[in-house]
Amino acid sequence: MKFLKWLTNIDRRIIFLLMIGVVLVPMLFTIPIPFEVGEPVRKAFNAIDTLKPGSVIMFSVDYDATSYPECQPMIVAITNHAFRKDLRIILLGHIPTGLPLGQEAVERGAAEYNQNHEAEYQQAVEHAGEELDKYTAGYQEALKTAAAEFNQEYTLQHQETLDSLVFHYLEEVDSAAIKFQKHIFEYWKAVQYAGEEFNRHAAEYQKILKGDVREQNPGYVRILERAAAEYNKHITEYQEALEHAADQYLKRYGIDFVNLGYRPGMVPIIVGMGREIRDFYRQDYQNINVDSLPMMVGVHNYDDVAILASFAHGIQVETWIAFAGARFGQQIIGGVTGVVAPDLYPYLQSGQLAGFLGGLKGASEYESLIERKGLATRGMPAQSTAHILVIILIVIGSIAEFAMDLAERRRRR
Amino acid sequence: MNFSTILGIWIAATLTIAILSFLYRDNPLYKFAEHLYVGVSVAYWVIYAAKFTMEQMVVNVFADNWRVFLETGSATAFLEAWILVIPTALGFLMLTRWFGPRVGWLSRWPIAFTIGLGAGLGITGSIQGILLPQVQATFLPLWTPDLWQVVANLLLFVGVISTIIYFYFSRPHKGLLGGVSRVGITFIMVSFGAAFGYTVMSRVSLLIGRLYFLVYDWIVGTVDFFKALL
Repeated sequence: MKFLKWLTNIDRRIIFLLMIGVVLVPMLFTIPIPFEVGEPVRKAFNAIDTLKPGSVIMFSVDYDATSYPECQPMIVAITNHAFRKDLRIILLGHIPTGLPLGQEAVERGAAEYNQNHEAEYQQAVEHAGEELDKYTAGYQEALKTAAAEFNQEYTLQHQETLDSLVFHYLEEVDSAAIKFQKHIFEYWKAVQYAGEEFNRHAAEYQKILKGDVREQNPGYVRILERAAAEYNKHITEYQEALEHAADQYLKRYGIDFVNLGYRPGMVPIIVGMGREIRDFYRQDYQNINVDSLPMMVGVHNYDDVAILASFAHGIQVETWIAFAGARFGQQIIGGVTGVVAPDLYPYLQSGQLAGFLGGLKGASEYESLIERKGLATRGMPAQSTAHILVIILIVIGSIAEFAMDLAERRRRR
Repeated sequence: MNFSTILGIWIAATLTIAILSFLYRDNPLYKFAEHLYVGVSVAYWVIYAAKFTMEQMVVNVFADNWRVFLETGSATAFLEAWILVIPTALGFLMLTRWFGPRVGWLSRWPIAFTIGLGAGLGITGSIQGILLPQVQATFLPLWTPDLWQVVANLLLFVGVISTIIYFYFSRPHKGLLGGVSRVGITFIMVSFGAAFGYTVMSRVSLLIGRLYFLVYDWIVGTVDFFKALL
């Protein structure tokens, strides 16, 4: 009887220790536990997977550190999927302490994408450089020929000046390329700046050269001008090739994702964004004017947003459904904690929600669909063993309670 | 991994252990971590309110419109600049509660405005966005070629009707009404069970997240950091 009583009233600290044990063991020794992908997650995946490249997804980050283990793997997985599909992401949030978590997830997704495509990007940059080198040699050759033809010794000096300019320009681009992973937006600006500087110097150089030579031999100037015009064309092509490579292999702030920041008052903002996003978000989180961000060109309201993904630990998904979904027909998916997940099934059944990820299980299912093992996949074995412990404890407690009740009845008889 | 990262991980790990120590019993370490969390969260809210609300929605908008007005003389820009005085004043009126009942009553104006706005939006949102689509979604065919679909639709129909009847309190739950409401409470209990199961999963996930951090980011990360140093 004493044992039965003990079983129905086990010290909570023993249960905590058991729980920590059953969570730690599968974490330390990888135990693969198979699972199937549920309908809500598959629907959410399909909704994103079928979008056209270049479409915009809006992420609403409505959770904070208290739901980090559940919601963070979801936003990381969907970011990965979105970047693979060449979708663009707008980040905003209604919980200040959560927005940096969303920013971290999207930046990590971009960094992962950039790292995965680093070799291809470097190859494209090198190829563009090699192409330019071909023309640099041609240009120099034209200068040399002209110099030899007209026997102008000083041309060699100018040639050195141009050489050093080209070298300096390529050096700037290289050094920016090395830093690109860390400050991709700055890199993009650095390449543009280097290009502008080079063009300016090249123009000045040509002006000096023309001034000196024009008087002595107009034929020579014509050859130089032709060579310079040809070379400038290739410089532009080189810059375009770099930009194209970056578009293809890099995910950059302002071009592939933006963070619009936090605004107070969720419902009026959701309703107002149906008219114009800029009414509420004139600047992004860094105070950069939204109109100056290339990604935001042509993005004004829900008509320009393919899917809205609300990552929430509360009723925020329902708020998006009630206002953005019902009024503006916005397609919505949810990424919610386990506590919120049961409340979303009615919206899935009614078609108001395109799909949703519920808790760590939902995140791990999504990770399996995109074939990327993240925190959720690694945590699922521990989740299963912990559930087994809870079931065992409930069964033991119920049996003990039943046995005690039976014994009590017998004693009364 | 650099020094600042490992330092941050150590601070986070110490605070995690401090919070988990509550599982044994309440203690000063737990209290310290709890208060720190509240303090940091409040600081975040204050900074966000200053930057994203005051700076971006009031100061910058006013400055932009005022500049446009000075450059072009546009009446719209003038109005768009000065209309900001109204919400800003309402915001400041909210603070009058700090100065006692003599002026504190002024805070009722912004509260009334907020409640009016919230109620107006909430009512239309609830009816248009939740109630009507949900009612519409229960209008399902009770006979289709797919037998499982028939069972699912029937279950949904019975569940909705019996649950609504359970919440009908104008007559005693006896006879047919009592029987149907008992079916309704069964559906409600099933949904509670599902919610409880999800809640258990959710709480265990939080534990997994923290333990994963302690094992891999803290212990393994520290070992890796010192290995790299040596």
